[in-house]
Amino acid sequence: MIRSWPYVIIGAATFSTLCGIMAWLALHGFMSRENIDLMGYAISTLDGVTTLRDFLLTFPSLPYLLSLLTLSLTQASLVPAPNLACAFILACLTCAWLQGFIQAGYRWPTAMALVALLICNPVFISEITRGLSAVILAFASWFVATMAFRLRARGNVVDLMGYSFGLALLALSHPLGILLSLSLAAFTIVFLGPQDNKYSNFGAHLTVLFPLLLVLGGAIYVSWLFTGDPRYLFHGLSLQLDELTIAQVQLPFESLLHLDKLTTIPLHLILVLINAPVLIIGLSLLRRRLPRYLPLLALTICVPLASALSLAFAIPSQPLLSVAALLGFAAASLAVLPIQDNRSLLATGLATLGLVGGLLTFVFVPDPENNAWLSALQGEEQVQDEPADLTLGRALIGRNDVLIDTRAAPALLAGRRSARGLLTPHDPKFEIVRMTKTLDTQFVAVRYADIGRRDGDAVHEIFPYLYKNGMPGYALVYDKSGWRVYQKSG
Amino acid sequence: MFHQSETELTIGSILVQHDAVLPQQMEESLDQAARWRMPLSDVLLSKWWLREEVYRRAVACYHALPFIRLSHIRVDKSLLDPKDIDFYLAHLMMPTSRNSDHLVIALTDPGPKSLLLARQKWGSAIEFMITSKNDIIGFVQQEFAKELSHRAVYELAEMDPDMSARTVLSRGQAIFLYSILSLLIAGLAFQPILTIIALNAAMTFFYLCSCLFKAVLVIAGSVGQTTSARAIDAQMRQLRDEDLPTYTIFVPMFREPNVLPILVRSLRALEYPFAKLDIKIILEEGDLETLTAVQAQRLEPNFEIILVPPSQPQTKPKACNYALPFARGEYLVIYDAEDKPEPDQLRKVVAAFQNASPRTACIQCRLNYFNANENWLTRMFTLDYSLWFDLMLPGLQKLQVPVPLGGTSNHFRTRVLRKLHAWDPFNVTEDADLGIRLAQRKYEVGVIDSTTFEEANCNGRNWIRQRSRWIKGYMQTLLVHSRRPVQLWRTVGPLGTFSLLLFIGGTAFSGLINPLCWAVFLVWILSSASSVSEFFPSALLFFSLFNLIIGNGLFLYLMMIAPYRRKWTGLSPWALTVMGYWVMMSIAAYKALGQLIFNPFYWEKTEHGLSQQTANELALAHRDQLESTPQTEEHNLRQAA
Repeated sequence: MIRSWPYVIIGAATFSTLCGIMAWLALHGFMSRENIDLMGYAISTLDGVTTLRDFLLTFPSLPYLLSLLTLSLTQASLVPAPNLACAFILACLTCAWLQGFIQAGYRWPTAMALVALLICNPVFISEITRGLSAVILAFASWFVATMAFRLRARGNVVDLMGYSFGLALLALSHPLGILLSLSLAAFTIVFLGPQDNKYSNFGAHLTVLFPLLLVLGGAIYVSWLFTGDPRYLFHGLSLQLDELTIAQVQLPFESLLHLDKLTTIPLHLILVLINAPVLIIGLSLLRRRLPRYLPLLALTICVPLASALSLAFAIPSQPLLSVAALLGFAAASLAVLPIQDNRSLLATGLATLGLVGGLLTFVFVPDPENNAWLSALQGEEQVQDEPADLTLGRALIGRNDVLIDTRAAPALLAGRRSARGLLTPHDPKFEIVRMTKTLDTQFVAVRYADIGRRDGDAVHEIFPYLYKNGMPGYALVYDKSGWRVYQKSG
Repeated sequence: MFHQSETELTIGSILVQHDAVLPQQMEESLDQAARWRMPLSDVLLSKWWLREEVYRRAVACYHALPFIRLSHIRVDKSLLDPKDIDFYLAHLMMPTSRNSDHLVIALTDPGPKSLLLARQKWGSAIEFMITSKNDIIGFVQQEFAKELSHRAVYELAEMDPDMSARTVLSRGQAIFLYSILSLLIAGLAFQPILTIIALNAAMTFFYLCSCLFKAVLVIAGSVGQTTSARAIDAQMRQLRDEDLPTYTIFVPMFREPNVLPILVRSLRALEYPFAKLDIKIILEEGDLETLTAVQAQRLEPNFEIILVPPSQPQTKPKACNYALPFARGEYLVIYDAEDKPEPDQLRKVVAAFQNASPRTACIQCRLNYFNANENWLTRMFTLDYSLWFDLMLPGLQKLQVPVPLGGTSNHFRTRVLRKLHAWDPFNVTEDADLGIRLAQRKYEVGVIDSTTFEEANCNGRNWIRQRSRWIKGYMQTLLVHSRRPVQLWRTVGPLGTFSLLLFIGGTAFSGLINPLCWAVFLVWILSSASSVSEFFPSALLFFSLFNLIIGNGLFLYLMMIAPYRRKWTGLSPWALTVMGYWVMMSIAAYKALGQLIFNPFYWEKTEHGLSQQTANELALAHRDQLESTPQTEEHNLRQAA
């Protein structure tokens, strides 16, 4: 019988602490790009300005859906909805790791120390306060790794299902998750026991990989259904990460030819070594226990392999997010270390080393948002470097009857906090404007010709000269960072 | 250690002295009888070392009582009372005649217990004669065929009419269905789009619930299976032969003379004291073909043949009901003629019963197929059965909701079965119905990890016949148990009601509405969504798409993982072709609906013995039989001498 109250207390403490940190960051004006987008997508969906097409074609799906759910439950909260969801998942993850360690035979103090050392990794803390993907990645990677160990050891149906769904969960969490799940999929033969492979190797593999294939197949089908292009969502993976243009998306494997980019693979190997040393040391400790050794080996290799795949598929690698996945693997691996006299000491030592590695990573691996995040954490107001869409959104607070295309500018809604009062392309009135090419709204917002953007600005498409020349009867009231807003005059 | 009574030892020595059995045979039998805590007669007879008549004559000799054959005397039928049928069969004694002021009682074993019972029943003015068990059973069957037959058909319908499928639709149900239909027609006439959207939404909701519920069942059923199986194994190993009770095995057969040797071989291989098995081969009186085949099998005296007189409905549950009064075991199980239960199944069940709560009335074992790889249909059928028995039924048990029992290998506490008036002869899936009835009476059903292997239907037409009967039976079961919805809700709870609707109703319903959904999907694809988009508002379209991709994917995945427990992963890729199987299910569902309306109690007979694997099994069984024949001949010669 598991006593639940210690978990409730620890979960609540984790949730409150993280909420506190994120409220502090929000109060000091820090909002990450990912959070802004998630908020924007969630607001537009809740306010009914999202079509089914947009809803289904939003990726990564899990952070989006969780943000949506949280926002619908907590409309007016100091902490942005994605952050609240993140804090909740982290609380669950903390309890899950704790329980995993207790079940693996660690005493409570050791288990708590291990969890604390893992979640206090500065890279992880920084990543989870900036969005939902990192915490979901950590959760999914821990889950999939735990199930992989169990599948190999016991081979129960529930382990197989857990592992299969873990892969699908990873794929829905972030583009990096897709790469990780594909890398893990390559090692399925290792996670399945000899018994599973004996009767039908193909059948066992198909069963394990089916949910992942279903997710990928579903994405292709939905893309084809709504856009006519089966690869639409996969093009989007590259675009969403750093807003590359369609023209810049490379063909698979082409980038492997660029040798300079190959440095990412050794970088990921170093990340494994310093953030999750248990993976490397565990290999030597478990070398005579094949059912644990082989899955551990696969987990160790899969992160660098994912970085290689990121090159192959021209998806920019995200070394700092990889740390979140590595922590998940580390937590699962610490639970399978062989039981021996000094195991607790060894595990705590390895987790401490990982924490030091996290510090080094945070210092030496650059990230454009790091400085802003650090200064907000130190209590400095963040007013610069705000995305243009967010600024426009703030400027449109209180203004209604605005003709605007919000599809490619979700941050705008995050700034305005509501889509009510906006006439967006999903509105029948917008369609009338498109057909008649006449303006009658109080405000119209147009973006500078967005060459290379996947979804161009619909207002610009209807009125190609509006941005440059304005419109008779309308006066310019806002002009900043590529956005202009005109107001009806007279 | 159990010691034989003085009486049995003396009877034993009489038999040895008269060369009826060899001394070493007697020694072995005495030893076994002591170990198994059984009467010597049962051991000797089960080993075929003695004919019953010889043994009973020795008993008569010992007690200085006359031995009679009931067929050779004139039994005074006015002394017999139909109400006492159960008493005659349970205690193997009955009045035969009146001798001046004494009542003559024929019995098989005049021990102190029997004498006491006879005195309590008929008073002290009685005298005894010895007869054989088969004589009493045969006489009761012959004399009370009409009463037994009436009981078999009408007991449930008379005692608990609401629980019987004899009435297909109750008045309330008829009014409800009529109202729904009228509403639908009115809706289509006046608000066609809204009505279609509402229908569409209802179907989408049904699919969504169904797929989520099945996923929950599979997860619930998979967690902790190994631990529970290990616990029962450990408990089973603790069981000693003497702890095992008498076990009744029902083998209802109809026009399947060829497959019996498979079951006989499996029953002989059971790791259970053979003398403790009370096997009833239940045949229809007119089925001479099977009767001849059974008689040709040279079966041990534990195999009793019960002949069911002709009456309508001619169903398996009616045959089993007819045989129930003859059952002497504490537990009772049904096997089909081609079944191959795992040898330790009965022991496991006894262990499971001992481990379970006293309210556990039935233990369901898993069913699967020995000819899984024969053709596409057998592969799909195996996937279907693996999902049902290996994953979903344990899930239902775990969630403590009604478990619709499978066709065979359901082991009952006999007294509970009698208390519930046994099976409903008007329901063509009587086992599923009984499972729900057990739950309504607050009894529990356990599912254990022991498999009975059967022959998977390898012929399409035969499969549709079998499946249409099952679906019709599910429809009957749903109709029966939805007659008193409030009571159902109270007895099995909201989750139980929900699971009954989805599991029993859903199986039947999905077969009926699937073609409709496929047609809509086809039109949608071919017309690029334009012609049906009117009927799919955004939210509905989302859920429909969810069902289409995730729901169907989940169903497919569940089929795929179904054989994993047995590591039959070679079957998993075949799950990708499940669409064809669903089409066949739909054909069967419409056939079932037609039959429910026009011929509700018709038992669509499934042919067995079509598989090549069955032929192989039969060959093995015949070989075993040939190998054992010389020994049997030797016994017979000695008996004749």
